[in-house]
Amino acid sequence: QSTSVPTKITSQKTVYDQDGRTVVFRGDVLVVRPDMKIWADVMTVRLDASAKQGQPGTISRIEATGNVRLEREGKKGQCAKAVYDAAKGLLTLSGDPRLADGDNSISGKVIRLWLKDNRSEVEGGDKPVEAIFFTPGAEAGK
Amino acid sequence: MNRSRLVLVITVSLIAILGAAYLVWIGSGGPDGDDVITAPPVDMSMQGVELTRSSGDGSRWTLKAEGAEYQQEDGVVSVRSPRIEWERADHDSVTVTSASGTVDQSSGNAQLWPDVVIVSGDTTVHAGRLEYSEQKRSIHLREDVRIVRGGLALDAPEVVFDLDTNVITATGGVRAELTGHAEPTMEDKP
Repeated sequence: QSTSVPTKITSQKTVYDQDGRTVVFRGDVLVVRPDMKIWADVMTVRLDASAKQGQPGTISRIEATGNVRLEREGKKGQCAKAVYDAAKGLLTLSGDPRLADGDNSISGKVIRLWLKDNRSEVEGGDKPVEAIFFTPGAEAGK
Repeated sequence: MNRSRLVLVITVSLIAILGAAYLVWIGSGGPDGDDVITAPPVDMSMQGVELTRSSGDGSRWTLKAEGAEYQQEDGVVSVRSPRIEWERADHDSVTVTSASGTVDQSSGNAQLWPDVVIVSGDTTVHAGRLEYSEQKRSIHLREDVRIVRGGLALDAPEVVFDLDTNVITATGGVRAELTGHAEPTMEDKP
């Protein structure tokens, strides 16, 4: 069951291209949703064509670029680019992406987060996936 | 000369002399001469006005207003409850309404305030003040500007609407709220 989640965005400047149905936010961009926060230099929101007068417009895609940071349910992520596909509920991090959950962290070439199932996948590419896990109770150096 | 005609001649002459004396008195800067005439003389006052202006590229704007005062000296038309419609060759038309405004006949520039509402396709814009530049072909909006389109609501102190590219640029700190389709979050799962 899909719910209409209010996404609040603040920025210094915004350019809304009515024909292209894109809204570009620039400068200190912050996105706040009930389940997630995203910071970026630039964020482009693409609105669906199906929006009619007075009906809620649907977001089809959000692309964040430049110093992207995100926080979701205690996990923190950073990368150069993050793309959110609303239909798939898929958030794709690229450009040296790294995800951290407390002291544990994972990085690779591309990290995919399926928000519906809370599932993630890390793609290594030309260098192996790097995962660092701290097991409870292990003391350094023993 | 019979009696009634004589009376008429005398009356007209008196009015002429008094009128001339009044103008001389004002001209000499009589007491607060400038303050006495505060509002520019209104050349024409009209009800139910319609003005149309076309541009070379096939676009055209039409101004309708409940009432208007035309000041010939400045070439400015002050309007009440104006409604301006821009018909554009390759975009949705733009309709603008407000409580009052002025249109400069020579430059084609217009200023509207307060309670400015713009409707263009699916998009509605509210603002306290609008300035239209014929040369730049853009609309400059100030004072609590809000842009609404379906699930997108965007607030900004200043917005420029480019009538040629159909692009709206908001500056000065923007706050937007998007309510669009979204998948369930963890908490929503049954």
